[in-house]
Amino acid sequence: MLEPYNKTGKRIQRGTDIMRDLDVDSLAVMNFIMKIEDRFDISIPLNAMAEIQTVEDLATTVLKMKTEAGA
Amino acid sequence: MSIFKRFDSLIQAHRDLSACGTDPFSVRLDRVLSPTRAIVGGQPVILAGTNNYLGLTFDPGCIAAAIEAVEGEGTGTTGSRIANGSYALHKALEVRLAEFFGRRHAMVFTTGYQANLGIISTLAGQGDFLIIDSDSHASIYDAARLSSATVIRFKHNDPADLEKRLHRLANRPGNKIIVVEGIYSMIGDQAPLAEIVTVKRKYGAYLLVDEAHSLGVLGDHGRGLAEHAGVEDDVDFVVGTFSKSLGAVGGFCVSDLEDFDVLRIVCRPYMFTASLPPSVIASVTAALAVMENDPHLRRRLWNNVDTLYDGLALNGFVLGGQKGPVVAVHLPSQGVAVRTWYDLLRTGVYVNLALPPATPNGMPLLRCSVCAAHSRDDLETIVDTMVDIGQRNGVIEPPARAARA
Repeated sequence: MLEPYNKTGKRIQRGTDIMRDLDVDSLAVMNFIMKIEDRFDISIPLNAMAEIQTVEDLATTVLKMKTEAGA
Repeated sequence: MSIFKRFDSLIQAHRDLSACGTDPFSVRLDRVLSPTRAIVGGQPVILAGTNNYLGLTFDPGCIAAAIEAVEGEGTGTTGSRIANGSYALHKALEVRLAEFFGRRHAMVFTTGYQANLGIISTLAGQGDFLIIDSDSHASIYDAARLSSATVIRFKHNDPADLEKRLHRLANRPGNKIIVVEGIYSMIGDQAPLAEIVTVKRKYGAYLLVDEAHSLGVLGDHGRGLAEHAGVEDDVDFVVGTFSKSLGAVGGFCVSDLEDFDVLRIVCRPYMFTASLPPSVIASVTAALAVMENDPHLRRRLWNNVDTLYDGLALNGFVLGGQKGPVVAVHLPSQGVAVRTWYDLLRTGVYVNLALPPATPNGMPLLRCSVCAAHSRDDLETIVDTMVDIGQRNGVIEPPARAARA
């Protein structure tokens, strides 16, 4: 899902920093996050966004939100 | 290392912008002559980017009221609303605002920014959910940061996306507070308020509408989008500003909810800043009366909107949003936008240059705002100048090619 936003051609891995390594600007990140939210049927609060830098951070947040929604 | 190091890329971008000949974000209006005229760089310009929708900044009655107040009660209150800064004038304006909106309570703030900042951040506390439109004004985003609530954005003007997000929260305790704007300031589109109200009711949420750009503009009485859409009873809080249609500065919130006045002793942006000076309160009170008693102003504004919007659209400009007093002209790139903006200013037309990230979807815009005080000649001059410069800068097709197409 992230690949279309990747301007660098670098391989996307767990530790990839979404904005810095892939040269994705803040607006594109917001659009990407909205796609993730639709795909997993969650809302990622703005409060949680500051802590998301890498692909792994994002995955952790998505899992956390899924768990909260199920609880 | 400089403390400003982290702004390096912005500093560079700002330098590049100013290369057109002037810094677009620090234009000096040498002298403002009327709601529609100023002297800039020694030349007269038509003002078409001021948010002065009803043109009341030079209304003789408003000026007289301000003079009387400054002479009678001094230049400033030197204190906050909860100390020595609540004069009879402030209280009377709150009563008048409540009457105008047909609400039980009204609270006056020192700026519109502070009204949003204070009301939104205070309403939504720990354990609550603030659900804001993704194109919200900076004051709403800043309120969200100041609040201890969980902040969720929904897709701009998309009631279905709003519903999805409320549905996901359906089993979670905590108040849900939806925040939308009557008219969005950058491209001038309106919130689909009737549909939003339907969703709000279904999920038992609260609704706050920021009518900053729609006060005096929408609704038969000028009460904004909620009046225009016929859903005032479902709007729990209306926030607005005195710095657009009412021609001064300041902000307010009105509501019918019981215990609203507790906000006066918990809302920090209300409590810990000096109140508005008497002259401003007096001119706003007078402007509110003019707005109420002279519906011609609003009719003139909308006639002017037709002239400018249709004139630009007919000549091939791509315009944003809905027809209204904010007319956003889309430009293909930042370079063309800055050059076109500068050429317009030098030729005698001032509009706002709006660049990403302040604009939605990364679009560079020339943001025009229409005033009831613009004459037909003014509007025709604006259109002609924009067409001429737009053609030269490749924003729209030159006439020969346009005719062939």
